[in-house]
Amino acid sequence: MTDALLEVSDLAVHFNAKAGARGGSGVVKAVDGLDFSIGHGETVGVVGESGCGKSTTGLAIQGLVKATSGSIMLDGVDLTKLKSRQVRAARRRTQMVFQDPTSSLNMRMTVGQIVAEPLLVHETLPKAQHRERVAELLGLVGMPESALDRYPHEFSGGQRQRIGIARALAVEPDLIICDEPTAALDVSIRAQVLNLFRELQRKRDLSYLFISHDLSAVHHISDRILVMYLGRPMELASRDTVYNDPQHPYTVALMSAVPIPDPDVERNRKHVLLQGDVPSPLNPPSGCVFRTRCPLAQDVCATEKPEFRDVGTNGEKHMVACHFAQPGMADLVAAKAAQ
Amino acid sequence: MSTTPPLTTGAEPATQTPLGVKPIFEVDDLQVEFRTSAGVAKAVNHVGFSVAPGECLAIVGESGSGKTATLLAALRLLPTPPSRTTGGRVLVDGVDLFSLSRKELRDVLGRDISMVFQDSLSAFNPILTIGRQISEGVRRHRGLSKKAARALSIEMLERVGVPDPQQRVDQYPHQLSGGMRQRAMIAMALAGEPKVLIADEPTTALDVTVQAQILELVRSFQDLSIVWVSHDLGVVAGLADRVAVMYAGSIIEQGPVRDIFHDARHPYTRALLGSVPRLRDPERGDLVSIPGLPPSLVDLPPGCPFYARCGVREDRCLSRMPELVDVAPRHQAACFVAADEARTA
Repeated sequence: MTDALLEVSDLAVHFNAKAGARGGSGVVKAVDGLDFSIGHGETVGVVGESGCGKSTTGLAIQGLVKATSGSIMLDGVDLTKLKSRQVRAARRRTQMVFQDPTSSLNMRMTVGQIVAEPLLVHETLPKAQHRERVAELLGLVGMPESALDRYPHEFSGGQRQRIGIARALAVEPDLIICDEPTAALDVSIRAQVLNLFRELQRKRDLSYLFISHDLSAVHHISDRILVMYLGRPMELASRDTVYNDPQHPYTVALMSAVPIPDPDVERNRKHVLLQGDVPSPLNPPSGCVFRTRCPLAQDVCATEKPEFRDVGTNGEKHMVACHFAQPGMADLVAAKAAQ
Repeated sequence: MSTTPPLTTGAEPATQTPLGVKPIFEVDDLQVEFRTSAGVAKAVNHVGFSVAPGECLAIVGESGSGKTATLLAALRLLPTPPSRTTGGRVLVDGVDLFSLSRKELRDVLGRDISMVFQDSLSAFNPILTIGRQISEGVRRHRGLSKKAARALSIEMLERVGVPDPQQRVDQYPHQLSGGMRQRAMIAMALAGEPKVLIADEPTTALDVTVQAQILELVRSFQDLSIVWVSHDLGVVAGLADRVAVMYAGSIIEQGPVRDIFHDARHPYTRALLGSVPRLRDPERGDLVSIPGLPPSLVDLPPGCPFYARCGVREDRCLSRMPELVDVAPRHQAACFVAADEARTA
């Protein structure tokens, strides 16, 4: 993995939780022991339920929350150990696209000002050329040049998301961190935005970290998929392996829960239902964090933390954190759940 | 206790549903407008559908297509102004909701027909316990004592799969997780043994694993008549018997779930289905995206509202809104082109 653009090793992001109305205080391990990499021009999808740490991972890479330990290497530079003077230059290489295009665009600025702001901050271009560059960026995301002097509220949700993407592209980043970029969009508009992401990737050799709870969108856009649960990595493999031959029981349950838009398929498949909710991150289960909802849990799962290990065959890297990882896990879990 | 609605005898089939039984819930030619600063928005335009006992009808469509407005207006839950219901009829088991007094309406809502919403946190009163809120309806509608209502609340919570119902019944809404609160809302809606359950995107805010639990729960109430509003075609595929597709305030296609998914006739329905990324697709080409945006409801064109975005449009589509016509048994579409195709097929 020497050609990786981004290499995250043993990343941890911990928050101190103060005692609140719901009681309990201590350390929330929002992300713990996370390892993954993103290659040049590659898209890595991150999936998991609310609170699994997928957004925190994105924020840590962008430097918007501080990593507690571990390293985030971007082209050989550790982003967690930057001197303040180097921070800005490094930030230029990663940009974010957020979920809610309404709150992530300043409504008092024109579209032209919004898209030009990264250019001002990073001083990559003489100011006289900004307008021309912004028009070019808007064209790239399929917006008319006339949008320049208009305000965000004059546009629909899908168009605002395009403006957010144009802003992210302004300083020519290598990596775009997309945090639920299509969650607020309708199906037909979501398709437009997903198509745009892929078109931009082809044109610009961009890498994406695509964070979403929408598993079908992640599957569509990703080369590899990272599955997270309670801040820990569960499984990481190519998108087809994750969908067709998952070796972690949680991945199996997650995939099984995604409804398939075909009545003949959807009504005849067996759903693996997980019991209950995700445990409190303040008091995660010992050993394997998934064991309290796992249909295969044994005594060893409570005492020993499973290693995030490579079970891949014929050259493909396939990382799984489960004591019982094995091919054909989907059938095993389905049989167990049926009992 | 059973939440099974009484089976209709079918003795006097006044209106026939496609199944040949008397519908339990019927909306007929409903029209709703909203007064906005930009003008009058025609949010619901001549919408009609019916639900047979034990049937699940899904209403799908994108934001602003009028799904929620239709249901809220049908149950007279929309504030007037800004909304105004300008026409139509809504029958619940033969009773016309629009002819009832406010007091009579309150007796029907929660007893014969109840509703669950997307956001369970705002659907509950934050300063009353879950048990108190479930009890309120059954005490009013079924005349239960305080004690009996509490016992029923616990039973209902248990039935929808809330763990430790004895403790949960005395907790406040914020103390429950999102999935559990959604279950509690379903318990509240079903406690009065309604004939019809109206569900407006009840799983949209939930994680897929919790959504799967809720869908399994809803499927277990087999005799319940359900109107399920969703933009998630996967959920609809797994739940609905029939599907109605809305666009710009009108139903543009409706039919049995298999027909809609495998043999859609309206160009909008086809495009909508094509725009969903599918897990089973081995090859990932570009998704079908529908160019442009839905028309403004304040300024609806005289013809087909999908005209501007349609791939098979013709000049005649501009003349007037095509009405829903049969394109297959029990399957209607509002499209001139689809109607011609059906005639010549």
